[in-house]
Amino acid sequence: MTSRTFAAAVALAGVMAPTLALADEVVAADADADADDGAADAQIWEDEPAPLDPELDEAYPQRSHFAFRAQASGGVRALYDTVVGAAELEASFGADTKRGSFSGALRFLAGRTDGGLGVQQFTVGPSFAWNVGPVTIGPKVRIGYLWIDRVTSDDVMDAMSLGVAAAFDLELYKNEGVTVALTSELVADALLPFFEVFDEQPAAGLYGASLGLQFRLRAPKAPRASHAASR
Amino acid sequence: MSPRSSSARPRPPALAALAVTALFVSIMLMGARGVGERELDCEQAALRLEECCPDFDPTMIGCSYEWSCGGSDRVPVVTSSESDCIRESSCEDLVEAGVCERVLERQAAIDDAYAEWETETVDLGEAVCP
Repeated sequence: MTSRTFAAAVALAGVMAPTLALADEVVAADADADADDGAADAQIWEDEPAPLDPELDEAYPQRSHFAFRAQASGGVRALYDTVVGAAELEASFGADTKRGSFSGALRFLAGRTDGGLGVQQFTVGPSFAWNVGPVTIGPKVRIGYLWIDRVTSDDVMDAMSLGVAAAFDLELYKNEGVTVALTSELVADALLPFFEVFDEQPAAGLYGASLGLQFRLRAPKAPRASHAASR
Repeated sequence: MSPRSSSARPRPPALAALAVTALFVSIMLMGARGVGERELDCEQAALRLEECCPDFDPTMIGCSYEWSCGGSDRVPVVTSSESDCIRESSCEDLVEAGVCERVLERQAAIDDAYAEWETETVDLGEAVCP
């Protein structure tokens, strides 16, 4: 498992560069870019062989594929009557299957309250996604830890967070297992005191929404015919 | 029926359960106390006072609850409504109305009650932000 994850991360790094180059080319197709470079790039992509795995862009591949997702977004949260503005980063690893996408997600949020206090949160949890045309929808469940800086001491206000999110993604670009999507989420977290329950601190709700960009990678699979048979 | 390998690696759900358990234990060890509304409002008000009041040191006031077993509980120095008032007031108004001094005076009263093990809840007196 670990070696697979590591291999996928290395593969991701290798795939990122040509992916970004391709995205650039699509966007700049009608622009008067540098003629020599443009021609060279176009030649490279025209000469690419057909995809090894025809299921890379299928909404529901018949065989399970390793999938990686990364997203960056900005959002707002309401905590009591305090508004929090935040930036969020999320990475998830899992599988795209014929029944949908299932993954485990790691997420970090950093932001500020409207008064200027720093807010941080990290969460982990399963995430699910199903395609409906170019739209992907799915619930996420999260458990994590949230802390808010204090100015009156070096201590923090902290809580365990248990929450759910509903994600709605719109695919902007999709080719050979690489997808770029606009992603939005509605989020609800319960902030719970933990361990020091005798302090009678109440539970609180953290609600909000986020909007950002998501990058998805579906790793190709070897053809069904085994190498042994072809040797 | 093929024999199961005794060296089978843990399945992803088992690893996920292990990760969640580890996180749970970590949070427990951190001793998360929860985020109280009055504490949060008080901290936000302290930022405003630091911004507006000359030589105001926010570490001179307390915005956390400390429950005492038998004595007076330590409470955030300002209430939520006072915090709202402080945040909505201009710096000029806060200084002219003496809010900076009143907050410090109330903090001294709270500290005294806590130190002297008074069993009565601290009387916060007049609102610090009129």
